[in-house]
Amino acid sequence: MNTYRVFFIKEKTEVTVKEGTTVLEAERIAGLSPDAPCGGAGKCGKCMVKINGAVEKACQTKITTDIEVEAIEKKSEHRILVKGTERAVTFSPELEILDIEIPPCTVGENSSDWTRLCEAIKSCRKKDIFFQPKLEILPVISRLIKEKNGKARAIISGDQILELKEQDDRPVLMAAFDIGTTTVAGYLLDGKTGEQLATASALNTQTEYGADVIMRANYSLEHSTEELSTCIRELLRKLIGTLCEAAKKSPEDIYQVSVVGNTCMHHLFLGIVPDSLVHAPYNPAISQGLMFPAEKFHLGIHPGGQLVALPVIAGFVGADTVACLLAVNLEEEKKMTLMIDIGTNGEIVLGNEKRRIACSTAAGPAFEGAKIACGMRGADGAIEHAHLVDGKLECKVIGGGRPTGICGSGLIDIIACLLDAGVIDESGKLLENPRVVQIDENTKKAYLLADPLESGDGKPVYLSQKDIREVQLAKGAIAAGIALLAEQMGITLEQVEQVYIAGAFGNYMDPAGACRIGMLPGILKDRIIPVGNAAGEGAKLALLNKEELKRAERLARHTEFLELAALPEFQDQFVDELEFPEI
Amino acid sequence: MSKMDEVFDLVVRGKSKLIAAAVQEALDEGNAAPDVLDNMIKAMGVVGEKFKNNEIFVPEMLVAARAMKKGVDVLKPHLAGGSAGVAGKMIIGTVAGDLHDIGKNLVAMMIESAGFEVIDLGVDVPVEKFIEAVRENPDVKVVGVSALLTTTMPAMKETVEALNKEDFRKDIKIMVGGAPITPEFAEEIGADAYTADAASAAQVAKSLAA
Repeated sequence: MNTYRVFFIKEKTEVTVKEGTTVLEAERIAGLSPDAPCGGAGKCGKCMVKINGAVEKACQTKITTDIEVEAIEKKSEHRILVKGTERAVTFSPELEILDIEIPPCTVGENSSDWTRLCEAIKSCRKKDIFFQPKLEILPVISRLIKEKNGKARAIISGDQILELKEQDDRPVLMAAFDIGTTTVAGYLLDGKTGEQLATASALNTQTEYGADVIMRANYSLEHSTEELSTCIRELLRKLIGTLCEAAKKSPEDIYQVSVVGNTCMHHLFLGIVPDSLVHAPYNPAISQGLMFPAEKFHLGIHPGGQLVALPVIAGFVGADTVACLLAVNLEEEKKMTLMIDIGTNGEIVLGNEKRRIACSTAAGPAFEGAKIACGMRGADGAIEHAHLVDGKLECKVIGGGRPTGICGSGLIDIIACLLDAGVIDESGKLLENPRVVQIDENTKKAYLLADPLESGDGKPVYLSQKDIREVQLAKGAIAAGIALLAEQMGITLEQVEQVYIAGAFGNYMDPAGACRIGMLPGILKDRIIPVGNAAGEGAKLALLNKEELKRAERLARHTEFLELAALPEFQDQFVDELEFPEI
Repeated sequence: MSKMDEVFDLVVRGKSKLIAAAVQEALDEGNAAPDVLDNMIKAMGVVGEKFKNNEIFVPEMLVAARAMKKGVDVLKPHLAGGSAGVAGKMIIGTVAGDLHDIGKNLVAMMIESAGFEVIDLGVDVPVEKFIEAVRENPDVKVVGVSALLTTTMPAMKETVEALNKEDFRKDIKIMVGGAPITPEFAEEIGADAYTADAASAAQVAKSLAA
C-alpha cells in the first residue's frame, strides 16, 4: 500500500500516512488536537481545513496523494468558547512589582527603615496602604541602602510585602491550579506580563484514598486529614516543578499561587477537616476567598509567596464552579445562561447578571468511566464517539487503534445511536438484536461493540443493560437538576439562551448525543457551547486582575444555592427524566 | 389482554402516565378495588423479585414504584379503610444528617405494596422524632431506619440505641438498611433485621409483623 506525506503548514509538522487515511486521522497522528465533536461522522463541520488550498472536511477527505494542510481559524460556536473561556482582561494583578528608591536616614530625621520603605512604596503607587510589618525584611532594607543606594524592588500583594530585593533580572511568576477530584491542571504565568508560560496536568494522587469526594472525606475523618492534605500539596509542588522546567524558570520566582477546586478538594488542600461536608446540611467550613502566606503548604515557591484560594458557594458547589462562573463572566451576562460542569457531581448554575441559582446533582462517575462494565477514561483505546452508518454502529477509537473500552463521550454516543437504531427502547431496555448477547454469568444482556478478536486487548468491549441503567441515573439527575433550576428561576427551558458545558468531558461530548439521551433538554441542542477547562481559566483570571478576584467573591456570595435533596419534587422529576426521550 | 392484566403489565413496565386510566377502566369493568390493589401488589412483587435477581436495576424499580403509586391514588377513594394496612403499621425514615431518600422511598413503596400502612417520616429525621412517632402510633409493628452514607451510620446507631431504651421496644421490630449497612452492623447496634434490597425488606417486614 502506498504512503503519502501530509504537511501541516501552520504547525510546521509532517507525517507519513497510509493511503486512505483521513486528514482528521493524520492530524491526530501528527499529535494535533483537531476539533471533531461529531466524531468524524461528517456532520458537524468543525474539522474544516484547507487541503492544497481548498476547504474540505478533514474527516471526510481520504489521503491519496502528498498534501499540504492548513488549519482554519474556527468561526463556529467553538470560537465563542475560546472567547468565552479565555476572557480577555486587563492585566492588573493583585501582585505588584515596584522598583523603588529607599532614602537613607539622615541625622536628626528619626524615622525607621520600615517607615521609609513604606513611604517609598507609597510615593511610587500614589496610594497609601498600611503594610503588615515583616521583620525578615528589615536587614534587607539596610543592606540595599548600603550596597545599592537604596534602589530596591518590592513585590507586594494586598497589605503584604512579599519580598524586597535588588533590581535584578529574575522573573516574577504566578501559578494557577484547578484541583479536580480526578485530575489537577496547572498554569504558569508571567507576573510582569500575564503571559502564560506553561501548562501541566496530572492525575490527582489522592485517588488512592478514594475515587470520589465522599470517600476521601470519610478517609480523612476516619484516619487523617493531614495525609490527604500532604498528598495534594506534594502533587502541586511536583506540578510546579514540571511547569518551571517546561518554561525554564525557577519555582523560587513564583510569588502567588491560586487554587480552585470543589469544596472537598478546597478543604483538604487547606488542611480543613471536611466534617461538615458529609452530614446534612452539607455546609462548608469556610466559604470566603482566602489569601495568606503559602509557606505552610510547602509548594517549593518563594518563601514569601502567597496562596489565593477562591471562594466556594456551598458544600457541593465549590470554588471550581465559582471559577467557571468567573471565566464565562456570568455576573455581566445578559443572556439567560445554563452552565454545567459534569464530573462525579454535576454542578449546574442557571442565571445571568440579575440572578443566579446553583445546584449539585449526584450524577455519579458514569461519565468518567466508573461503574460502567467497559468504562475507561478518555485515553488510547477508548471509544470516544459513535455514529450510525446505514443503520450500523461505527465507533471512533482514541489513537485510531482497536477499542479496549468506552469513555464518557463514547457512552453517550453509543446509547444515542442505539436509541436511533431501535436497539434500546425509550425505557432503556435493550431489545432483541443479533449484537445483543450474553457476555458471561453476571452480564446476561449486553450490546457487543467488539468481540475478543476485534478488541485491543483480547477481551470483549460491550455496553451492558446495567451500564445503560447507570447512564439513565446519571443523566436523569442532571436533567432533573436543570428542570428544577428553571422552575426555581421561574422560566421555561425554552427561555435558556445558551448552555455552557465546562470540563474535559463536555469538550468531547457531542451535544446532539447528550440531547438525544435526554441529559440536556433537546430544545437547547443548538445553544450548547463547550467552554473547556473553565475552572482553570477562572483560577488564572483571579491572578491576572484584582477586580476579577473581587468578582469571584461577589459571584460566590450572590449565587443562590438550591438543595435538590430537600425538594420534595426532586424524586418525581428525577424519575420523570429516567426514560429516554422519544423522537 | 384483560384490564387487570394490563394494570399488572403497566406497573411492571412503570407506565405511570397510562396507569390511572387503566385502573379506572379495571374498576369500571366491575373489578373490586381490593382486587385491583392486590393485582398491583403482585406486580410490584414481580418487580422486586427481578430486582433481587439482578434482572432489573434501580431505574426500573423507581418507575414501577411510581406507577404503582399513581395507580393506588386512583384506587384510594374506593378502598374503604380495611384492606390497606392489613399487615400492620410501619414507621420509616432516613436518619439525621442524611438527605438521601430514594432507597428509603423504594422500601416504603414495597412495604406498602406488601399490605402495610406506612408512616414515612422523610429524611434527616432526628432520634426524638422516631420515638415520638412510635408513641403516637402504639399499634406500630415495625420501624425502618435508613442511612446511605458511612458518615451517617453513627446516627443510625444512635437512633436504634435510643429506640432500644424505650418501654415500647418489646412491641416493635427494628429494620435497618442502606448502601453501607451490613448484617453485622445491624446486629451490633441492636436492630432486629437488615435487608439488602426493597423486595427482601417487604418480605422480612411481613414476617416480623406476623
